[in-house]
Formats: sequence, structure tokens, C-alpha cells
Amino acid sequence: MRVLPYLLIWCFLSACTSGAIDNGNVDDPFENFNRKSYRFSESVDGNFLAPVARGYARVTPDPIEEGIRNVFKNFNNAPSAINGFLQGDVETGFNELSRLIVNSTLGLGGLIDLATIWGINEKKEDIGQTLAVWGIKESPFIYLPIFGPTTLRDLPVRFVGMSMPRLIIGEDFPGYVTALQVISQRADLIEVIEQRDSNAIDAYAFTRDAYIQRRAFEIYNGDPPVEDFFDEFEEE
Amino acid sequence: MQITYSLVVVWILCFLAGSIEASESQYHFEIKKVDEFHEALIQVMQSPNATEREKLLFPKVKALYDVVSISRISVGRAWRSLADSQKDEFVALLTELIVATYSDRFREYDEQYFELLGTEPINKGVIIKTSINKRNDQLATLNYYFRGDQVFNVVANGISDLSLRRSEYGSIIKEQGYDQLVKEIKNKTNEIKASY
Repeated sequence: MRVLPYLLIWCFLSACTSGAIDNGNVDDPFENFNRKSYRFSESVDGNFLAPVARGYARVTPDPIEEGIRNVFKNFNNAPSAINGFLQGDVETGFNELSRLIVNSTLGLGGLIDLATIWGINEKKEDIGQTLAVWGIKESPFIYLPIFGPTTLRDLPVRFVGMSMPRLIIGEDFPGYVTALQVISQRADLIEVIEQRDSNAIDAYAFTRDAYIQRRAFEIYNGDPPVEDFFDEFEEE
Repeated sequence: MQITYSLVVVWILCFLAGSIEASESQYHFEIKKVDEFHEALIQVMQSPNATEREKLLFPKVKALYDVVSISRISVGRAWRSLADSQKDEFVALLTELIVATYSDRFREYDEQYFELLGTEPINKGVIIKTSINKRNDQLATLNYYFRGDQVFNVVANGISDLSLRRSEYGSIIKEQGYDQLVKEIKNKTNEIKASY
């Protein structure tokens, strides 16, 4: 009986794969909700988060900004290692574990990304990629208010990412760390979002498709299947 | 035994070097086209103004990109119902948008350079894999998808330009119709040019 909730979740996620990709177009059954959520999130971002992130990027010296970025990156080495092993990719699992150990100790608690300097490059595995490897290749797109783009399969990734600092620091976790994490991540996206806004005609569709493509890139470790765009036309 | 082992290793290395060379000489035409385009981008970055940049880019974009196929794929099923004049108009608009986008993105020269990373055959074509770099840092990977002798897609850091266009344009056509898409493309081109 204890297994039943997990079976139901699995069935739900698996059922999501029945939302087929039509000629490469994204499965977006919640589009009405997603567009409203996107507009709301952009409003909050434009009025509050983006100005704060720009201010942070402007006043924070680059080495300190990089140090803060490295600390948060280091928090994710632990779940990345676990997910590497869960996918049966032992090499990646040990790679991420090595990064965690090297950066946490010699890298002064993650401030210095010594592992990358030594050639132990980041692999960035997560639970969403693990579920994809286990068979849930496609999943409906959802745009969460404030949190941004994800799929039903990738939902846990958001919560793990935000929870890791609290889990690692423990009871003494200061609340401002979450705020700093959000601002640091938003600052890293300043240029990308500016480029999207200057190039996109339908920014929501652009964001949705870019997210799905990026995830495919990560799931297939940089080598996703090549889509045959001409397939549809060769049937004519 | 040691001499035999060394000979085998040398033979394998020669074979591999030969294979890589064969692959690059097999796609010599496509590699040359991409190289010429990249040389043009360097010149564009060193150009003094937007007019110069667009003048340099226009013939290069037309030579490299199969804008007709890009138009057809990104508009999708609606393309079949368009008149020939509408198709010609769309191809011209899209060419202008591509030129404006490149002109906007490649505005400043700061010792960037392009590097050939490899090739990969695909159905009826090839992917020419390159990167844009600055000093020792790789800024982005740029993979050019050829079918025949022109490019129909560029994938930058894993993101396909053609897939993005198809998603956006399909969304606008579905919600607001083809005419609105044409208007939006014109507006976007004017917006980009106004920001030069």
C-alpha cells in the first residue's frame, strides 16, 4: 500500500508521455495557464527581480560574483553525483563526487571551482534527466509563476535546486541565502534574456522551445537526436 | 615485439589522420562556405556603421542560407495555402530579418575568431561544427546544417534557430493568422534596426 502513491505518480508522469511531439512542436496542453503565468512572471521580473539582479551585477566585483556562483554550483554537485549513479553512469557519478570533495575542501567551501581548473568539468545531472533516462522522454510543458519554465517530469529539479543549500547548511541556514541564490541566478541570465527580448517575436513560445531544446541537450549529454525538418514536406 | 607494437600504433594514427583529412576534404565545399561567411562576420564586426554591416551581410546571407526552405519549415502547413507572391514576400522579409539580426549581434570586434571543430554527416547533408572564441575562451558553438549546398539550420550551444522560428511562427499563425505574423516580422526587423 505504501508503494501506491509512488506508482500513481509514476503512472501520471508516464501518461504525460502520451502527449506526443507533433512534428517537433512542444507538447503544451496547459498553454492558456502557461501564457498567463508567463505574463505575470515577466511583470514581477521586469519590475523587481531584473533591476535588483542588474544592480547586484553592477556593484559586486567580478571575483566575488564568481565566488558566490561557484558556492551555489557546488551545492548541486551532490544531487548531480547521485543522479549520475542512478542513471548507471558511474563515471559521471564519481566525476561529480570528485568535484564536490575537491571544491568543498581545497576550494574553500566551493568559493573556488578548483575542480574545473584541474579538468574535472561539470556534468550537471539531475532528477529530471534521470527520469528521462528511465523512460520518461517527453513531458508536458508548464510555466510556473515566478519559478519559470519546466515540464511535469522536471518539476522536482526546481525544488531540489532551491532546497540544497538549506539541506547542506542545516539548522543554521540563514534566510538571505535563498534570496542571494535567486539574485545570483537571475544575474547570470541578464544577457540571455536581453537577447531573447531583442530577437523573439513571441517571447513565450521562444522561451518554451528554448527550454525544451536545452533539456534535450542535457538529457542526451550534448548529442541530442537530429530532427529531420524535411520529413513532413517529403511526404507531399 | 616492441617494434611491431610501435608500427601498429603508427599505422592506426596514420589511418585516423587520413580519415579526418578525408572527412574534411569530402566536405570541402561546405567548410569553405562557412569559412567565407565567418570572414564576412569578422569584417562586419570591424565595420564602422550599420549600413556598411548590412551591405556586407546581405549577399553572404543569401549565398549561405536556404531562406526558401527555412521559410517553408518555419511557417509550416500554412505555407501550402500561400500564393507565390506571398511566399516571395515572406522569403524577402525573412532574409531582411536574418541580416538585421546578424548586424545587431556582431557589432563589435574584440579579437573574436572562429574555429572548425569537425563535421558530421546527416540525411542528405552534413553538419559543419564550429565555435566562436575570444582569446582562450569558447564563447559559443555554432553548428551549420547543410542540405545540398546551403544551410537550413544553425544550432548555437544546443539551441536550434529553425526550431525556435517554427515554434514562434506556428504559435502566431495559430492564434492570430498569417497576416499578423508578417506584421510582427516587419515590426521586429524595424525594432532591431532602430537599436543599432
